[in-house]
Amino acid sequence: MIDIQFFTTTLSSSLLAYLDPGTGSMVLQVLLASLLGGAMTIKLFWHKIKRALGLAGRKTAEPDSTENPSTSSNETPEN
Amino acid sequence: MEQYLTQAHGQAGLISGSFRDPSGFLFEENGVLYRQVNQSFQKSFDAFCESGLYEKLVKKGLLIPHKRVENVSPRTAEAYCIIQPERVNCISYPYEWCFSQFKDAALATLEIQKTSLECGFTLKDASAYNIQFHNGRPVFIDTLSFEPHTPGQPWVGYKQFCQHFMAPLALMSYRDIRLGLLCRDFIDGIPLDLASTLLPRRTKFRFGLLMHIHMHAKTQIRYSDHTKSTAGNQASISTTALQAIIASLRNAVSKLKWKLPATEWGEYYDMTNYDESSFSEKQRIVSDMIQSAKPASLWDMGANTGEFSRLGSSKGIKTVAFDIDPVAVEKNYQFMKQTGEADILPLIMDLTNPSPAIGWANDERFSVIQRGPVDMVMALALIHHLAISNNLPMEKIAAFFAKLGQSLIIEFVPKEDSQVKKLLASREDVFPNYNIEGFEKAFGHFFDIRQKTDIPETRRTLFLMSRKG
Repeated sequence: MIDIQFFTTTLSSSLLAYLDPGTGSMVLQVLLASLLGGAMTIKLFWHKIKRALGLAGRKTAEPDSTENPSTSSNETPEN
Repeated sequence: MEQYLTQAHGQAGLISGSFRDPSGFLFEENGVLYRQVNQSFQKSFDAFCESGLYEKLVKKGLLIPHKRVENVSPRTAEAYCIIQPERVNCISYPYEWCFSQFKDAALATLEIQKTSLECGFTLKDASAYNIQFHNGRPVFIDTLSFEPHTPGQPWVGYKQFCQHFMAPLALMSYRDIRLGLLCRDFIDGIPLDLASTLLPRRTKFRFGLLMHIHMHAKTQIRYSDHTKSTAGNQASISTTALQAIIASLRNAVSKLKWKLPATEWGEYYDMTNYDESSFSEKQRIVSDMIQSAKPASLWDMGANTGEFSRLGSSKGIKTVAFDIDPVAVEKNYQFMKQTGEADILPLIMDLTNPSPAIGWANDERFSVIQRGPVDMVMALALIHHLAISNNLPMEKIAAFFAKLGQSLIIEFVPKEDSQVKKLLASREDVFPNYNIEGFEKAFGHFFDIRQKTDIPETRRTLFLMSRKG
């Protein structure tokens, strides 16, 4: 596993929660943030390029095949 | 925290399940539920109320509405203000929810966190116990869980969300639906290392489950001995990235499915020896009995998919439909969602081992009996399962029902009935007192029989009783 000890010292010390957020859970969020946040940024950037080229609207860009937030929107309880 | 506990527990009317968060607590006065907000949480609470997030969540039906009250005395010196939340009819717990209830509760929590982040706030916890089913929908009940989001910070509730929602849902979906009951043993959610061990290998090929359960369990173990340090450079998670994590969780939860298997009770109504006319006659008698007792609340024990429970809930009676079978409860919940019913709550319950009081000092989560009594209890086509399948003496059954409700509609099913014959087919009949006389005598110790009506074209009898005293 990627060693991200660097992040843990910072994140766990700067949070003053009444629950223990768990160091491992904090570390994983940093990892996920870079993976998923990066994917989302690329998606948004790609969308902007497509829009600039006048291609947007024909086909909506998807973040990736495994984690697509838009697919779940019709399954939220309020629907 | 300790000081808080000492002070809080010295006061009467405190609700025992709300002691962990020092921001405030619940208490009851003259039958009305209140929440004290402590001074330590004043800034966050005011910011939350003024930000528009409260209105937004209430409008979406995701948060329990409350009003500030001035005429109620604070319980401790740390009080900032007192609020009165709308009261939930019947408190339920994750280990009593069917798969879709659990899933809807998880999705509601994520929707709340998503909306909160959009408004510059975050949930400081993600406990499944903060969700209750209110008027047919999952609603967040802890108004003090919202605090301003510090840009760059991860989600403090992430670990709790995975333990309270992801792990049980994945286990119920991929391994066995009954594993939802593990939540009863693990009050702070199912440990992720345990979930990771129990889940089949193929779940490692699902990105969401791989990350939020398997990898999460590994990082927890890897950093379990990590000592906090005040040194270090600033690492931060952008709000966009945080929203991406929430979206990933939502996607992972949404993809979890449970295919309904055919079970013992799933098709019960089709299997019984009632013909159409005797079934509708039974409905008519039960309906009349409910009408004559005029209850405001009703618990249907052994409700199956809730056909008879709806004789109460359709009249606006707050009804809980308990059943042991997760399939029946799932069907009941799906039906109430489709029809938009607000007065019925289906829950999983094994009456031979009903939910106990659990948590700290056995006083954090209420037992079934503690959540009663209600105005009326119904036990239709149930007595033979309790008395014969579970060898429960008739007096003990009567005593249990007397604890639960003021009045009782109960169906006696004699040995001559085909269902009872089936139960006795493979075992010795050690129930000499299982007959209508024995039944009336046992229940007569606790109840007055107000009405006794045979169901036409069957050997069964319906009773309406009132608790003595």
